[in-house]
Amino acid sequence: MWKTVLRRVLIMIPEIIILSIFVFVLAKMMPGDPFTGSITPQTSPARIHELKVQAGLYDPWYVQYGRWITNLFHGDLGVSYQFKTPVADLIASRAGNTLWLSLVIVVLSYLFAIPLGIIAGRFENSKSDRVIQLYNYISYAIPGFVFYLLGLWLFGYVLGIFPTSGSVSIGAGSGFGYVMSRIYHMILPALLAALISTTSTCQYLRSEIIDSKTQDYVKTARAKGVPEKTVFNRHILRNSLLPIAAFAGYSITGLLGGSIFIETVFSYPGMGLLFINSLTNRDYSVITALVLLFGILNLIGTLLSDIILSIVDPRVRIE
Amino acid sequence: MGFVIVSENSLLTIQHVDTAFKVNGQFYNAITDVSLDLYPDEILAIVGESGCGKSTLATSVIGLHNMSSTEISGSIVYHQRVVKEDGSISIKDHELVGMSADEMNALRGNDMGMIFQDPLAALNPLMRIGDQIKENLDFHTTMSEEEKRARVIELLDQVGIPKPERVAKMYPHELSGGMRQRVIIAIAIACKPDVIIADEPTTALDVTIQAQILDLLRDIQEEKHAGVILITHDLGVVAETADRVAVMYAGQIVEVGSTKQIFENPKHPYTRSLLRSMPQADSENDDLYVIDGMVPSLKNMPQKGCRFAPRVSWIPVSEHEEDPVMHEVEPGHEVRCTCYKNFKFPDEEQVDEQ
Repeated sequence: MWKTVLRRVLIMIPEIIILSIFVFVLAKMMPGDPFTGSITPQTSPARIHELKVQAGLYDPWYVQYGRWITNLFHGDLGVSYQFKTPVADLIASRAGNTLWLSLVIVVLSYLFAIPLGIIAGRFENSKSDRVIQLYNYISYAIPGFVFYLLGLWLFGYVLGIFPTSGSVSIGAGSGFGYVMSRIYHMILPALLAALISTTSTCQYLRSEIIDSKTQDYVKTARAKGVPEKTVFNRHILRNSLLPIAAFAGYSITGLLGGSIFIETVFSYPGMGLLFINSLTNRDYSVITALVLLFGILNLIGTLLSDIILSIVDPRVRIE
Repeated sequence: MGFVIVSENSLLTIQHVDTAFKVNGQFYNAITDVSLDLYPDEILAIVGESGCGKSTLATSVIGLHNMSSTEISGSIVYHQRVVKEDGSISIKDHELVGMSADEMNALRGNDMGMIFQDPLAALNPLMRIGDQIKENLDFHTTMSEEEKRARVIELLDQVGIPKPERVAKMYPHELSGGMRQRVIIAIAIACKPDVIIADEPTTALDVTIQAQILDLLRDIQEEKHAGVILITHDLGVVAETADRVAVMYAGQIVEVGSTKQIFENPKHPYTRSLLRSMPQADSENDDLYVIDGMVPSLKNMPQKGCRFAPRVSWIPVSEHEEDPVMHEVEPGHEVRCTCYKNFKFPDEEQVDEQ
């Protein structure tokens, strides 16, 4: 088991190196530069030239990459051109928000999707199955940002039950009040994001259950005289949950990078919002750091999925 | 009406059973008017091409159909042998058609065991071998955990699995196909059932393993005096193992007899065609006989007349009965329709004419 994990981690090293080159080169290829936004008619071309030289933007890309990657190993992700603070500190200050929001979204979405998938699969073609299917189609068809805006408008402005932006109230203090304020700010975005991200899990589980029902081992179980309830829980459901469990690792880390829409709509100060801001301001050092981070998170996600699968499925367990 | 043998000492009495499946909202008979008895201490083979209703008959007995899309009529009575305190045996009859799920679950696995065709698919990939066998004991016995564990090892040993203690802790994917089929047999016989239904138990196995599994099945049947329904399309398997044979075609039984009667004196054109299409090692002719046409699908099943008529189109229609019934040709040997009387294969006729 640990050998497999170690091997997988070692494979990740060349993957990350290749990823970092791509990220760096692609970021450099974007039009404009970090000073484009701050140039005024009064700025002399000489001054811009000087700034660019200072930032090393005239060096060949591999020299710039070499500098970047060396600094990276020293824990130095560069300084944000936009915020004038070290990128590492900037990301660290946002990561907590995104991490918590993502975790809550994933947990909520599984809490909705798994029972719905079980009901739909177990009572295939029943009325409840049709209702769940309808919900799935609708939630799949609505673009996330439209749904978030609708939710924000309805619950935030019209009904006014939830805050419309931020991650914590100003003056929430510390301790218990602070935590409650954080949770209060998280409820609406998390709930909306969870409601709309159930589709794949729910549909996958439903079709897995329907598929498992006709498997021979289920017939074997029935032929043993096992009551239907036990047949379902022990033989059908357990086997149907395998792909869901396997996907869990991936979806947790995937969401960390994928909450761009929800964070933007709710002005929730997380990594997604930071990413969008950095993109529009050509804040290279932040963009490259974030894309690299998202990439690494995805690699960790697949690793997590592999580990989870090897725990739940004896067929992929490696002694 | 089919011809019915009602026997006092039979294990199963199947009478006029129709099983229909719902296709696009309408029910179509997969088997029609099947009457058959199973006795203790015998292996009854059910043979026929794919789609003839062999498996449908078996699963109707053990109630494994999805009842929301299946209709079973007729009567399947299981004559349970109950040993009283004084050692005498009394018989308790159970009507299996229309039985509630709870009653059925009490019989399934305990009095009736089933062996499936594909040993690769018939075991739960996520459960240890020992647990899958133990599950049967969990629901039918009052044994302690300790006794159950011992019984599992005993069963694995009985079906010829080496190192049973080790295998009990293994998962299905760690075993070979033959070993898995042995495990499935162990599950089926865990509670010493009277009736064992084996649905093509050797089809998915290679020939050397086939013989071992059939020997094992035979040994277990003899030891427990069980009645075995052996479903197969392999006439070689039938000749080797079965005591009696029922030939099914298009959802009906067309011929029943002892293995000797069927192989030495086949009557029905279908039985004769099947036997003729078997490869013969000593035959000079290399070409195998091929039966014209194919088994009609569920929707296109003829409900009147001799169902085999379209596939022996060279014999005159008048040879068939309008509503074919079973005729006894010798004790214990019955055949459906009258078309068997003057039946000849086309090349046989040519020989006669010459």
